[in-house]
Amino acid sequence: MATPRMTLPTQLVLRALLAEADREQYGGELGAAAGLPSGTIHPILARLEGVGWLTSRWEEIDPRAEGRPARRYYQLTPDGLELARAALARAYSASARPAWLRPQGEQS
Amino acid sequence: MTALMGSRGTGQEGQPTWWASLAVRSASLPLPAEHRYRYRQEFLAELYAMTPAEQRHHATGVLSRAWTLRGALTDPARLTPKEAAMVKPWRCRLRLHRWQFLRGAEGQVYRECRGCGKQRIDVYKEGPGPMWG
Repeated sequence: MATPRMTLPTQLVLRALLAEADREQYGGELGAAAGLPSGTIHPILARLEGVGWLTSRWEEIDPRAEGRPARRYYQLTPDGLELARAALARAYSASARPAWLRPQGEQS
Repeated sequence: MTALMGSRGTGQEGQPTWWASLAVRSASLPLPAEHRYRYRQEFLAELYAMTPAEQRHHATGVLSRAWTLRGALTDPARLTPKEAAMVKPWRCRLRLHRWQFLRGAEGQVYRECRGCGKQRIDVYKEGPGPMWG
């Protein structure tokens, strides 16, 4: 499974997904949770879905009863959950510690 | 659903305004054909329950990032330089982070910037380290 580049916006989205890993969230909700401006969230979600970290589905509602169309809901896949946790841990450890404090063999 | 998607709201909260609806529909046009319908529906659905001001903000953001989304759909590994550089607050770029002190699962104290999420572990002492960097 490919790994997306861990840019800061991607990390913020992954943190928002991991914070509510047991439930699905729609794009606008995730963007607000991650503190990203409108329009930024969908390219990131598309990349994460493209590499298999995320899965998405349409909300199952009756649009006429609800008075609004169905939303698209996103959730981390089981593999994506593990990979996201590991990627965030790597990103933070690499940025938090200077090179001489890192264990031998760890790449920056 | 299609009827709801196509409604031209009056600008009340809960209904998309006609221009926000038009903007997000336009944002789906540059997308690859196989993704166009899905994202048009997704963008429109998110306009519901927003105030007109929120819809304007959201629709503008979606429209301005339409080509980035196209790039993400056609090549998920590709990253535009603008995207790589964006979002980090100017204070953080100047290393003037707004640190908050937190305690990890194992009891260790670390600090995290409220602006960009950068974390630091102070290895020499328990108390606050320098407030920059």
